[in-house]
Amino acid sequence: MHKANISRYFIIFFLVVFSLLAIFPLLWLLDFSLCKSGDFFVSGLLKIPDPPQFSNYLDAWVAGKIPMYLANSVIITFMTVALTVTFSLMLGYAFTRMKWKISNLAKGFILLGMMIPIEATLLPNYIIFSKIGLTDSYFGLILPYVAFNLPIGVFIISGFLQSFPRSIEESAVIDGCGIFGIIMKFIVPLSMPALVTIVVFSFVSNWNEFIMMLTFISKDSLRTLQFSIMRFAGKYTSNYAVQFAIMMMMTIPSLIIYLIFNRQITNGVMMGAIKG
Amino acid sequence: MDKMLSNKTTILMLVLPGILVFALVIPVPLLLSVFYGMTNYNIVTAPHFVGLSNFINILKDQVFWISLLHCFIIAAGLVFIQHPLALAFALVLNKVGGRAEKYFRAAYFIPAIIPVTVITAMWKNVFNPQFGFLNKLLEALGLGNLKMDFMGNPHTALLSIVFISIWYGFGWAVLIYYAGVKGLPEELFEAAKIDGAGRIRRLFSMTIPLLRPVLIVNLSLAIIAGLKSMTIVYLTTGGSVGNASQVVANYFYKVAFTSQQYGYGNALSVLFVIICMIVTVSFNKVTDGSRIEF
Repeated sequence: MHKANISRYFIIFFLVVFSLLAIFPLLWLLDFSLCKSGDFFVSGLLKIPDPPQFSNYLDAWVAGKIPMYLANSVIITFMTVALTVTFSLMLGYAFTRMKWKISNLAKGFILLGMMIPIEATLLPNYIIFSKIGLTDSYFGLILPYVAFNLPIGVFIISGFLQSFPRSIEESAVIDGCGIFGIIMKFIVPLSMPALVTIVVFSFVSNWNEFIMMLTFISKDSLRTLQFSIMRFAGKYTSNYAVQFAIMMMMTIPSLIIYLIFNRQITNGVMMGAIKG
Repeated sequence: MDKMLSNKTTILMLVLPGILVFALVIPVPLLLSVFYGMTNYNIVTAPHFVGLSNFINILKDQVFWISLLHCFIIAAGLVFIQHPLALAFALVLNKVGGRAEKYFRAAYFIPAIIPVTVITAMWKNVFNPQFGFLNKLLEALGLGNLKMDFMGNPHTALLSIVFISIWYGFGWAVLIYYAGVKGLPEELFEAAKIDGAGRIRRLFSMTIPLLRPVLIVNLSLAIIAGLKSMTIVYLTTGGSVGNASQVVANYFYKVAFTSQQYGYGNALSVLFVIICMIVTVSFNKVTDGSRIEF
């Protein structure tokens, strides 16, 4: 028993050291975001903010244009998640429950998307989008976001729907339901765990998406939260405290999302919802 | 009921919106990319068809090959440094149990959910040649002569990129292994313990073989992540002077949009997809088609 205890303490110690390594840079940011800007230039690894400069956050809110970028992020992510879930469910239902000849072929076509890196579509999509007027519009981001989330969405929901017995449709038909009635009344409630996983994964991947946003959106007023720090750092290179405060503010929504969805992310990974 | 489930109009209504969005954003542009890859298009003047000459030029393009090598170096960093650590953590974490397990799992995962622009700006500041944490730390440890501009110096730029990539993706790697470890049959290990199999023995003859599918999926994701590296490079070194830390995706992005050799950029981009697909398909072959299963 004694020996087991020692190895347990050793394990905990080892975990603590590495968890500090993982989050230390963030604590360092937090620390200097509360100091005066000039403190960054003074030696000393960390500094107790005396008194904490909360006004940095107020400045960051304004100079980082946080409300505008945050609103864009929320609108774009919300639309993307809603469309991804709806389309994934519709496709997944047609692929697993409906009877048609090229069903497998069509499913394979969508799943092939998992192999395509986003980066490879940047150049052609930039030209297409600018020709049809999709650049500098919300839809210029929502459409590619949905498209890149569909393969994983279909993958998750199909695996789930396959396990349902045929009797669902049989009894629903006797009740006089059409296909859309069946989906809304029976399939949606039954496949909630899979739908939640799709919501979480498309949320996380789009909230943090950067390179498509940078490529397809050049109007500042339409860019997402990701851009806030780039814009500020480009303009006020040496105002470190406010710069760090912006970074902390950009991190907070992600942290909240993580705290809410923590369990679903783990469950989702267990269901195989991963893409590099 | 069969009639209802094979109604062509219903099927079309269910499938069409999704397929259309998907096709217009992924496969169609890729085909168009193949077309542009065979032209000398520069976005301003009309494209001229030049056949395969762009692709032939890639073979002679030193920067492309160096960038590809850098991608594989990043991938190697993930496979040989990040993954053994991540697997070790997943195994240890699984033994902790209770609240502590949850706390540590969250701590390791937090960096993975932070926006990449914040991550890169943060590390740029940590690496800042005068005032960054790292250089201040070196000075405090009496190693002031080691102080340097880690990201600006072409000799260490790629290393900094590898380091940030390892740090940033660590949470995902741990989580995937952790999910795999949680799915292992506990009874089997109890039985082995009773039969007198030691800790090391259990690790190498049970845990690792049983985790094979997870290992293969996770390692293939790591190699693909290395190949696809772009954002971190774009936001930090930009590829460095003399392309000392250039990677493939950032290179064709620069060629197309900065140098305005859009045609040539597309040719590079097409080759890039082909390389990524070859890697993915060969890994899927190894898993005998059982893609992503725990």
